[in-house]
Amino acid sequence: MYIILGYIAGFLGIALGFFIHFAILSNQTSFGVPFFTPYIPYTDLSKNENLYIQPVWKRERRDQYLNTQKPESQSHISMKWRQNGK
Amino acid sequence: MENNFYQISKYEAIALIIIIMINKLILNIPYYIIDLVGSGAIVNIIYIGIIDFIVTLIIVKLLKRFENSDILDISEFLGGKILKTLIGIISIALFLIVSFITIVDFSNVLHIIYFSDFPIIYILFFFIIGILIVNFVGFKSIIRTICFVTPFAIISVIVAFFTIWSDLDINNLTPILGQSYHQNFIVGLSNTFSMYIIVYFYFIKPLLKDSTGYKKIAIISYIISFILLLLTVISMLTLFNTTSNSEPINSLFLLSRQLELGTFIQRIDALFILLWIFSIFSYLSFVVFLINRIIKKLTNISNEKMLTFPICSILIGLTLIPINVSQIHFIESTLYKYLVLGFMFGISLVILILANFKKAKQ
Amino acid sequence: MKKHLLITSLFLIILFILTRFSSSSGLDNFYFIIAIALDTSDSGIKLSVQIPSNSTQDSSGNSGSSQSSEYQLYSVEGQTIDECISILDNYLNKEINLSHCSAIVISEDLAKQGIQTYINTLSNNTELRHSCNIIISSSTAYNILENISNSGAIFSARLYDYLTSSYEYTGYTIKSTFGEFYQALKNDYYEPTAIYAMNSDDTIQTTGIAVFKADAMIGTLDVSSNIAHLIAVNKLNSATITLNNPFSDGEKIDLDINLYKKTDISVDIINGSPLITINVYPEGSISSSGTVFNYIDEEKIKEVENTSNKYLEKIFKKYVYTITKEYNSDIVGFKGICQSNYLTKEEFEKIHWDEIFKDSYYDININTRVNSSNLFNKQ
Repeated sequence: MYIILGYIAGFLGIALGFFIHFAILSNQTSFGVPFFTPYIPYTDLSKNENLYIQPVWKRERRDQYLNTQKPESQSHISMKWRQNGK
Repeated sequence: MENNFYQISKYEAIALIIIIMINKLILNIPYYIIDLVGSGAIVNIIYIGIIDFIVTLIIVKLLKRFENSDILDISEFLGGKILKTLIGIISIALFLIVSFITIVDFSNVLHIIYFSDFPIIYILFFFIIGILIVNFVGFKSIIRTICFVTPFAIISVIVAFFTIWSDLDINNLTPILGQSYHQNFIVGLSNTFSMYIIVYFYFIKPLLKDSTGYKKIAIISYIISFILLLLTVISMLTLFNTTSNSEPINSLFLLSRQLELGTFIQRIDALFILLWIFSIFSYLSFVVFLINRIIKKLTNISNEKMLTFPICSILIGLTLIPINVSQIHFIESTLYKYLVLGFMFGISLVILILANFKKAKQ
Repeated sequence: MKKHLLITSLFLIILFILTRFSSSSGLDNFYFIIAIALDTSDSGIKLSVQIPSNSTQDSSGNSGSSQSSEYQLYSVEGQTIDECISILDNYLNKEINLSHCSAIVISEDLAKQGIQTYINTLSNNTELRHSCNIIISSSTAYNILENISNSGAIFSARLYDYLTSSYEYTGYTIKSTFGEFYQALKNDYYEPTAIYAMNSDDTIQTTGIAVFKADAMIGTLDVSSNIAHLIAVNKLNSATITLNNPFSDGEKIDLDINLYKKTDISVDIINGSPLITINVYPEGSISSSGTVFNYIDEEKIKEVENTSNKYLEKIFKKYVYTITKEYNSDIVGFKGICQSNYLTKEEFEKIHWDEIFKDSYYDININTRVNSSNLFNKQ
């Protein structure tokens, strides 16, 4: 699609195609959550949602866009056995 | 009026206003400021920035009594349907003229620089088709694409400023007060049209999810837009002489042609043009959406999305009027300037003040 | 509703495909030229271009590589640059593209006639980079292209670098790019300058700068004045000056100088003529001397500093009086500095700077600081 647009009008066509593509995508939802969620309808970037994912024992909060009943999924020190064992 | 469309949050509203400002910067508005007052542009802009900030605060204060209403609802409250229709027609005319100037100016820039083989009507068609399709998708997508484009557009303006920071020549910025006191402060008062975003402060209140945050949105977006305008004007002043006789087609583009980050990054203007195409698309779609909404308020049509077809046809007709660049410059420097000034400070302020008196009596 | 949208958009797309929209010109249809030369001729100007001869045949291998070692020169005469380029396009059957142009060479005769039209034409060309260099040649510009073509340099992208980058370490010329030249031409505050290259039959040597007034060249500055010019505009990287050894006659000391503080220029109008005060702060290190002397001794260092001050003052005076009295061309930007003393332009225009610049007086103070030396021996 972009190739045809590029043939027609150079980078103007590609920019137009990208713009319309982005507009259509931003309307979509995946399982009820909008597509570009943490960035475009700006919700607080909790630590789980960025480029890097934390290790399993550090994921203490659930994602904010899910609108869960309990936002915390683990307590602060989840590996209690490790601490108590010392 | 029922709000059966997407409500926008605080960040989205701020991004919306900033993208409007950036579009004005792309379209050579700083050039007209510098043309009028010469090297005193910095002092002039700070002076009109303060004046416009006071006007913004007045508008926010006056709109406080009217929850969730824009200028059309207030004019209906003040003078009935006649005044509402009048204000509606004036605002539609304003937005139509602004959007047609935007399209024609930018298409001419693209035509001269990149697409000199095509007739200009093809480039115009491309913009119109983009607006058509995106308006049919919906308001939500317009706002979200604006949120996506705005950070990049801000970064492009700031990068343009910082790469010429090393070439900053203070002598180009002097004499500080420009040609003369009279020219700078009295004739330069007409430069208040550069903060065009104030027109949109009249219209966005009903779109907001939470109208109590209106004051914060207005102040933050005004300050950021003002800083961007100041940076652009400083960069243009340092690079271009104020006494030369030639009229640049698009000053920001010429500025970006001369930017160099070392020997690796040269000719950033191609990337900038891409960003600016995005910002102009998003801005134009939002303006057409506003026009649709105004017509819907005036006439009670149920499906306002179909209105994009006649609006776009009118736009095509309007864009074919100017034949060459000098006509566009004439329209921008006289018709657009005084129309915006009249609407911003004339009619709307008077209506707001009178409506506040009327409400205070009740 | 969705079906209608789909059908109309498809129809529009097909409509556009049928009308031939894009100009299909790829890399094979261009000649990327390396340098342009402009000379005078009977019918206007003579434009010569330098094209690498291998680069356009590599379309299947590494395309876009312009590193080749054989060059072809073509010349054509015409009235304007655009006319010459179209004649060349016709002759060569391919379009000329200026986006890799690294030098514009102009002959002295043409520069003396005025080059505003040519610079304007070139600046309207969107492909030309503003970082390409401008060189003025003492004989014909075509000669320079010929000499460089025969010099045996391997990489075409670096051909003109050895001519133009010597300012970084010798201080014998300046960096003059097209963008700076164009701005200086449009600017009111200072006049343009360009690299001046003397060429004989086989050799090219950049000696000093060419001074312009408005758009016509009026003279040149030699090497010592060039160092003074670089100091005055704060663009000196490093230079080597040779002083008379104060401790023994007939021998010399070399000093590597650079600036440890920016040159301070202030302009005052006294009795209708400008008094220009220039404070220079060079910092030097002794790089060689004939007789070895005890250079750690403070008095000896002061002697060297005094000698350096006198020498630099002498070349500075020669430089400023050349540009003021002989050429009447303000290449440093004194007008802009004077303008910053006034609040509005009306007040500044009352002093008529252009007429009083010729009568300026100069007060030059040099404060050399010799901080160390590169000598390894001490006696």
